[in-house]
Amino acid sequence: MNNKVEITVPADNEILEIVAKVVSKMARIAGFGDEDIFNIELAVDEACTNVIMHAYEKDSSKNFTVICYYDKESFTIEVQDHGKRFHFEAVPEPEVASRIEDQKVGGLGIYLIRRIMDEVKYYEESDGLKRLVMKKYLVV
Amino acid sequence: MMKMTEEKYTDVCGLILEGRFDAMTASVVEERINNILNGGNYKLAIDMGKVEYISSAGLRILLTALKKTKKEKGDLRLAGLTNPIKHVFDLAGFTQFFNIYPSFEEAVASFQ
Repeated sequence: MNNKVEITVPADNEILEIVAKVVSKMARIAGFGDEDIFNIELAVDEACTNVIMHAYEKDSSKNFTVICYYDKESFTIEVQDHGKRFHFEAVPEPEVASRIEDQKVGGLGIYLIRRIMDEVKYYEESDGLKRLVMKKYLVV
Repeated sequence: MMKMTEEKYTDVCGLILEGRFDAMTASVVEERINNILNGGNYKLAIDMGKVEYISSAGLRILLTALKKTKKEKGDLRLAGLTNPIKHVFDLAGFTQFFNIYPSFEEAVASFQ
């Protein structure tokens, strides 16, 4: 089967571009066009940035895993880590403020992920493994 | 990687960005912008024409800098957003906050 890729990388911002390239290549093979691929790349970047900055607080001795697979209906990306729990559900649906003074700068990454992907779920397993599962439907 | 070039005009400071504007490069761009602001330049034009990618980390730096310039009665004006970059601004709802110009020259001239 060649419709699944799994990579384990250090929690270092330097790997963001590499992960994005791998996932966008997979998205192209799965059948997405340029705009969707750009969006998927952004969602993966935001998810990985959260792991690096928040779950592992930039400790590059730690690793996390990105798994990406697809079938006829959808394209799924899973980002897995053993770092600090991220209160994904607690991030409120951000509102876009009408005045810049009121615009918050936090929570923007999660907001973008939710806007781009069709399904987003966060799981915490009993062994401490955290999984952010993001799905985008392939519309034929 | 991010390449940054500064251009000084009489009243305006120009900054040309080239490359990926993500969590990897956000801190160096932030430092450069802060240096410009700390030098008392609050009229800032940023050329985004060669920015190939931007994530929330980049957007955050630009919004924070915009707020700082506004506070000092200046402005941070953007130029040359390519379609993918404009799309991220739209997704985040940030387009409304910035004065955006087709070209860098127009952004610089808009201050005069």
